[in-house]
Amino acid sequence: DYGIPIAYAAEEVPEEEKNYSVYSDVVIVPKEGFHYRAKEIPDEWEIAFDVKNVKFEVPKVKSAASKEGEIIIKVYSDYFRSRLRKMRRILRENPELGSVIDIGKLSYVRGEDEVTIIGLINNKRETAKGYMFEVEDNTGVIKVFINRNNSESKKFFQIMPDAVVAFRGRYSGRGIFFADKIFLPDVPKFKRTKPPLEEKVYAVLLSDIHVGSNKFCERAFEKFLEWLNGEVNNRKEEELVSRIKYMILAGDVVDGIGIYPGQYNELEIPDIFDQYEALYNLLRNVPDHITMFIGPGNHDAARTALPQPGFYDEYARPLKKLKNAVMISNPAVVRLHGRDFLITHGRGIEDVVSFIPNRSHHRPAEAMLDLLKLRHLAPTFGEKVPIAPDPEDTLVIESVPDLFQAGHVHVMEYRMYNGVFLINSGTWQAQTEFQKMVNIVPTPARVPIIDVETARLRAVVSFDQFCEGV
Amino acid sequence: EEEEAPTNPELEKAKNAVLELLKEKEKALSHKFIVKKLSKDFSEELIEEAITQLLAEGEIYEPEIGYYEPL
Amino acid sequence: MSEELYSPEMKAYFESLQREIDRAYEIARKARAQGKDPSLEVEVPQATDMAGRVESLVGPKGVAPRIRELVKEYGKEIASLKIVDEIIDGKFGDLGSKEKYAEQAVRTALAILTEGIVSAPLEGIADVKIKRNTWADNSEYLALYYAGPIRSSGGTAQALSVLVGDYVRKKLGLDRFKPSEEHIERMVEEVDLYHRAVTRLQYHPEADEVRLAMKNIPIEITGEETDKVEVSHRNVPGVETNHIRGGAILVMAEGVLQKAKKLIKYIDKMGIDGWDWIKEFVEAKEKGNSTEEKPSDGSKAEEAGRDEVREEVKKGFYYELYERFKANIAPNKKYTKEIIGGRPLFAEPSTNGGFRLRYGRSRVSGFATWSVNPATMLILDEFIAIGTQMKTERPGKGCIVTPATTVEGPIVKLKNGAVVKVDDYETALKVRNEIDEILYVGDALVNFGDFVENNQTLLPANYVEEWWVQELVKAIADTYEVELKPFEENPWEAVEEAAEYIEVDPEFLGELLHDPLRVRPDVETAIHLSKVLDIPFHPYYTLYWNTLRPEEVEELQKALLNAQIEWDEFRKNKFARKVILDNDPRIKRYLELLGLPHRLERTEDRKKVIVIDYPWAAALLTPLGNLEWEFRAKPFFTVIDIINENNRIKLRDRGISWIGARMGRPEKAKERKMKPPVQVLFPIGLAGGSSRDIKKAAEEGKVASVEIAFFKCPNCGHIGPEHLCPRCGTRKELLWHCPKCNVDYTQSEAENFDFRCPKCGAELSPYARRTIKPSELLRQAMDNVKVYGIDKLKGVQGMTSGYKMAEPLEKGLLRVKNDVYVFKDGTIRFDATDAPITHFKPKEIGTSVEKLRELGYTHDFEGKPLERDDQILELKVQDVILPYEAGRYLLKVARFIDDLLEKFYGLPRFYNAEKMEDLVGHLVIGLAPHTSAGIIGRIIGFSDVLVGYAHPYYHAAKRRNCDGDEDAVMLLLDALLNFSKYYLPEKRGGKMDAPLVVTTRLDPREVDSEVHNMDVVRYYPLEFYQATYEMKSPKSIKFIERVEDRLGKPEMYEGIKFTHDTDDIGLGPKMSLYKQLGDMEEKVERQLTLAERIRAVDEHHVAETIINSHLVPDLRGNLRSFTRQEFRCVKCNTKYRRPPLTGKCPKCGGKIVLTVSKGAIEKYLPTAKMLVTRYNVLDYTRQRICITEKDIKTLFENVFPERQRTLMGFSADVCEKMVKERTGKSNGKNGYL
Ligand SMILES: [Fe+3]
Ligand SMILES: [Zn+2]
Ligand SMILES: [Zn+2]
Ligand SMILES: [Zn+2]
Repeated sequence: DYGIPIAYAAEEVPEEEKNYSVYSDVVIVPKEGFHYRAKEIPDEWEIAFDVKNVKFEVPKVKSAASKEGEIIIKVYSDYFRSRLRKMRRILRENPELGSVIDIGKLSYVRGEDEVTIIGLINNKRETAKGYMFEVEDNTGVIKVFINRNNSESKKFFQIMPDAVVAFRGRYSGRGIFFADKIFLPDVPKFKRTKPPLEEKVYAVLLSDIHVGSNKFCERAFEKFLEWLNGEVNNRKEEELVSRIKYMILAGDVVDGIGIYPGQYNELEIPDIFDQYEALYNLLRNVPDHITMFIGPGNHDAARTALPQPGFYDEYARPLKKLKNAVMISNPAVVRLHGRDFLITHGRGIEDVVSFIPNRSHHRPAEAMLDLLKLRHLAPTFGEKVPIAPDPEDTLVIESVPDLFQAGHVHVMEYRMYNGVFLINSGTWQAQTEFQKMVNIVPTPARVPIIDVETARLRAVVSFDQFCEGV
Repeated sequence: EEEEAPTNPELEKAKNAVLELLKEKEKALSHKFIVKKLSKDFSEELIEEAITQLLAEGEIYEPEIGYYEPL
Repeated sequence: MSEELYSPEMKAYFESLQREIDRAYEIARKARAQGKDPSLEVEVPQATDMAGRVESLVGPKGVAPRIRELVKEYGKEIASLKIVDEIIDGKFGDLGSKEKYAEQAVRTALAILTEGIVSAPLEGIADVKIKRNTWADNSEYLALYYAGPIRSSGGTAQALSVLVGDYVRKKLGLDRFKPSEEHIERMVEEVDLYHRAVTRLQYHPEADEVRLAMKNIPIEITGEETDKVEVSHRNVPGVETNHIRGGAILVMAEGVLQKAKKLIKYIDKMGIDGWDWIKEFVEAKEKGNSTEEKPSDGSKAEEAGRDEVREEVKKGFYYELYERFKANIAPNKKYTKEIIGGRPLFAEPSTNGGFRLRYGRSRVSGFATWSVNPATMLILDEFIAIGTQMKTERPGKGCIVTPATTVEGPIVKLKNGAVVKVDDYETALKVRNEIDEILYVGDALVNFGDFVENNQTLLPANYVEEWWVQELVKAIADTYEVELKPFEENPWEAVEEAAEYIEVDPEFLGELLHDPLRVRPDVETAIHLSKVLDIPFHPYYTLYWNTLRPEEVEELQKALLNAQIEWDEFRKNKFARKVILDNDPRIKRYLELLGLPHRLERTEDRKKVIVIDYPWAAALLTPLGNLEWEFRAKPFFTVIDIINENNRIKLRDRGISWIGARMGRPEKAKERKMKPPVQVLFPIGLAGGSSRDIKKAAEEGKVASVEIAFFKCPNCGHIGPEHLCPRCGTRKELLWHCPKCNVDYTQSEAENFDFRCPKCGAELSPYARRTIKPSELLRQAMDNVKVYGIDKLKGVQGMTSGYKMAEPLEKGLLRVKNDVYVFKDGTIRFDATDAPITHFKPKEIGTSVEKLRELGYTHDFEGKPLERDDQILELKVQDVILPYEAGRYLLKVARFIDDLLEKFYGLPRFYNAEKMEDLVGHLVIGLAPHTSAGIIGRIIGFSDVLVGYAHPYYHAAKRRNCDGDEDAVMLLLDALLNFSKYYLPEKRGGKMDAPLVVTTRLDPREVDSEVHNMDVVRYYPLEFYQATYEMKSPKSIKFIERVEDRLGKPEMYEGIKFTHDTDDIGLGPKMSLYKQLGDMEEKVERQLTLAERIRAVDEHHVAETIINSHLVPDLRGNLRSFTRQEFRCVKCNTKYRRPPLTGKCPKCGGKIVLTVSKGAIEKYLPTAKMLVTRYNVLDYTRQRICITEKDIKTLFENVFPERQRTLMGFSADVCEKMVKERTGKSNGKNGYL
């Protein structure tokens, strides 16, 4: 303005009241006479693993003068030592492994003896004749070489920095270990079968709802809630809905605030309290007999670095009002009728995509498989995934799950590997401006339904016709 | 009974000249400038008298002492 | 070059420079010939012109004369193509392969187009290759590989390089580049990713624009990776990297696409075909824009307005003008999008009370400079000092600030309620601590040339003295037929005659005409002049009437009717001498907004009253007709419109156009030190400790293992890092080394073997890892130059140059002795912010009149002989005025050079300077960091400021404007003696900021063309002010002479004029307050105190912007990088991606430390919390800070488990309060601090 009164120029008065809805009007009445078989089946769930339950060993400060920085360094090294310890345990379950020796003791080994070393991969590179790794354990660092002609060498591409791997081979005595076998921690080829269930029960998997975003598919989500309340299209769906007993939400349940620069302009609800209030108003319409497990993602009001123990109570308080919801950490293992569901938001996928050749955001299940083979949810330090200074590594996949769920990349996809069902549960957010720019095409509003007994996919129900921009 | 006002043709000429000049400039003019401008045709006294008459007749006015402007 | 380009004076000037240059070269040649340096020759070739520079920088040899001929005949652009033809035709020798021809042609042509100054042709083009369209028809095409430094050539030259590339391609008979979909999409992604993840592009093209360009540009724009940012379109055939190619992206976005319109001109001029697509692109774009603009709000409003006009609504003149202004020129908020902590916002966009636009060019202005009253600098808490950069709303994006005492300063309200105009430094000093509110910030003098340069539509001019005096002159000419001239000494008779008619003192009239910015009539005379000449009221007595709404003036007038007024008379004109009013706060506010000086007084009955004294009582009451008519508000009329309708004395608006600005970078004048500081380019490895101290290593008897070049004496076989044999004085030969066989070969042997190892065929290296004994080498050097008791001698850890030749230690010793430091190229630099100056007074630069006469300054700028030290002289184009700091440092450098000559080279001392004045007349090289060509300058004096004052041409010769950049000076002889290409780092960009060639004679035609827009007149004519009211395009103004109009004539060097004088070029704060403040909290605190004080600034907006543009990115960024940080060994400096398992460095057992500390994350949190507590920011912003606090706290929950805090009923913590408010529950654990 040029400081002059111009008669018709109306003053813009910033509106004080909220000009957005927090869905307090979304009240869905269950369809009358709809029969929920699931109501009659007894609950059988437990939280097999939750970061909140881990007792972290707080570092003992040697002297009062110990500096902050030194303690943090100590904790970070403890973190990786704990990883090595846990991974050794996993690797040792493999009978082919042979005798394991510390890197520091290699010089005592005779050249012709075949031994196994286990360590973290510091770095790796391709050479003229094969592949070179730098491997570290608690006792030292060694270079490991494997010849290109060895078919084992292909595993080179699957190994991410800081992953723990075992090498069998011979020590040359000149500072290089010549490997002829590489062992990834991996999962056993065959899984012990679990006792069958008396009745079918189903679980629905969700993630990345992004309530509060102006791209949140609110109509589709409401349609989904109505569907859960018995508004079904056919007998087949009726059977599905009737037996749904669990619902898992793997993070990014709201869009959050200040997650990326300029987010304000892409928010329908630019208020974190109201975002959770809105989420509550939606989820209260989930029938009471369905138990919800809700974990945080990178958009939530929760610790930004992995692992994420849970939501910040004071911001996500409305979720506490949900009688049928259980808050879980990221990661967590939920045991449903004896089946282990490993639930994580899935940031580790980002590093897989940038490290392992031929991986893509559009095929997350493949990337999840890479993580499973390395038995770690975010192996690499210092790249895209922020890792908190915790004295213990809780991102190791310590026991083999029956199902592995992640979200984060907004693409629904699944696959099977050695008896483990891997699935990325997609999103409820339509393509954002940023995604458009970097060419990421999400698959919103598709709901995978899992048969708990087999821990495999029973059906996918789509609501994407109700989602704008799809 | 009408008595003709004594008309001085020279004075009328001077009055016209002053008025012309003022109208040409459309601005207030200083006394000194008017005198100087018309001095080759009229004597200073005559110009003086012309101005006095024009003022009296309400043809011009004096926005500031010594400056004249047509009405 | 033909003779008539120079006047005899200029010719003499250039000749005297050349004599001095020759003298320095002569000495340097003698010194160099001794063989103590890497090269036997002086390594800074002279170039008199662009052609010479091009040949020196990129070659080919012998091209310079040809360039001269071709440029003369065809102009620069076409000449560059003709040169391409000739290079490819082999006129400059056989270059071997087609690729080599292409490369040479592209580099030379680009060098011509960039005047042979910037290093882009050297460093910006990494490679030129001929590749095949393997994914298409396998035809051959040309690929240009761009590197980061291409940025320095500017968008136009970048775009031209593509054009040149295409020309080369055709000339070589190559096919087009036929990109596949993959290639296209890769570029689309990369451009976008670069903008998001690396640096904001000035021009961020749409995806389809990139697609169009990729499909149509006939050569491949590619390059090396510049940033470790991965793309998702990977492994595209022929694209060597999966990371971002910054150089290529710049050329695409800011080159070809942003400069498309300019490119068309060149395409036509150079006659290159196959580029019709770009014409269509520009046309489509312009059409698109105009159709888009039509339904915009502005014109809609205008149309609505027009409808009303049909109903015969009469609008006031200024009302109408404001309407047009609003419709045509929108406030530009861009510069307020980012506000850095401690760098204040001085005025919101186009806001009344901000910087008042004043058109003109002071003598310390050139391009991208604003001159303000030094009082303004002071009142803005000295955040602005001389040379401080500002980011501006318009006409350009940035400027530096220089002083001009002849423009208005601020108007302030004091704590005691008085309002004061602060137009001079003394008043400013007096009131600075008493200020309650800054009502008006003051004038910003912006030159017309900057409007041309930025193609900024002219904003309606505010009424000022230089305009008024022309109206005075015109009225006198029209009415009384006396021709007078403003800003001149007029003939006495004419002045006398005019004075007689308008009845003023002739002396006074003469002075008023000569210097209307300093001489002003008293208010009675101003009233008289307006009345009898029918010109607007003098601007000094004109108030900011249009800041008030008509209703408010109505109210004010009513109050005045009840006021106690003391009347007086002058020439029977009534005027008010004094006004006393009741202290009604509303009325008082109106007076404040008018900018009317007044004060508060207590009457006998202890009542507070407002007192308006002479002359301001008259300034207030004259426009109101001394209350003889009634002021009545009416629709579609501004206050001034209503006054002008009713009042005999008319007003012009003095406050229509306001410009916003914020502080950018602070000014700088400092010797250059590397980090850590270096005194000699000699490697010491880890033996010298963390300060790389060679002395310490020597004392401790350490042996260092370093990569270094060694030389062998052909006479006695001595081997060592010296060039000259310490035993027999023979020039030694470089030893080449086979790293595989560990064998050395002398230069001559190596040449015979074609620099390959005869045993194993490996490429020989000019250096090797060798063992040196610092104690022996240092002892020898000390004996050589007789420098002993030194504290330290700081070397480097390792050398980054291709040859790794070490400097003679003697040079280091002498530098230590004289307390100077060396830069990577062997020279000693002093950096200072560039500031323009075209005229100076002897007393300002501390140089005597006698000395200046010796230097060729015989007459002042008005042609009078130089006699006094307060006369104004026109600066000669290669003369520089250095800051005191530079004087002191260069004095030490001069002593170093003298010592070096005497003790190291055994030559006579040269400078013999005792004090800095002794350096006057000596030569320097000026050099900008992104260039490789220096320009000779001559020191003529020193000023107590922190900027380097030089002619705008001089800065332009370095390819700079003056919007806050800083450049280096070095003593000429230092560069000639000590610079060597062998010291330059081998990495990309290593050749930037090095004097690879030096221009000896400045030719304004061959400098950055931005300066050609600088205006050179004494005043802007009335037509100009008229044109501003019509909001004309600056390009349509043909009647203000600019440098452009003088090019090619002797006048391009002389007779340049300025419009606004200043009392002293050094008057004003020396150092920005920003540099004197401590931590962020203090910085932000001071910045907001100022924001609260300035009427034109909204402090809440400032607080919000600081948080969002500075504090949050820092907090979130550090939080992010903490959890992904590298770890470092304190001892050997090895970096680790994660901490080693043992917690110790596996290499050396050293201690491992964090590279991002916990403190770094938390650093700005208290400041951010203070801001969200005190100011009205968005809830979103407040929540963002509170969540960030929580994020930091939880990050360390397993490292430093927090002790339970006792809950308190009430907490002042903003986050706890917010949580309580929103959830009804207090969360005592939330508070982090
Ligand atoms: Fe997400
Ligand atoms: Zn010798
Ligand atoms: Zn060899
Ligand atoms: Zn170390």
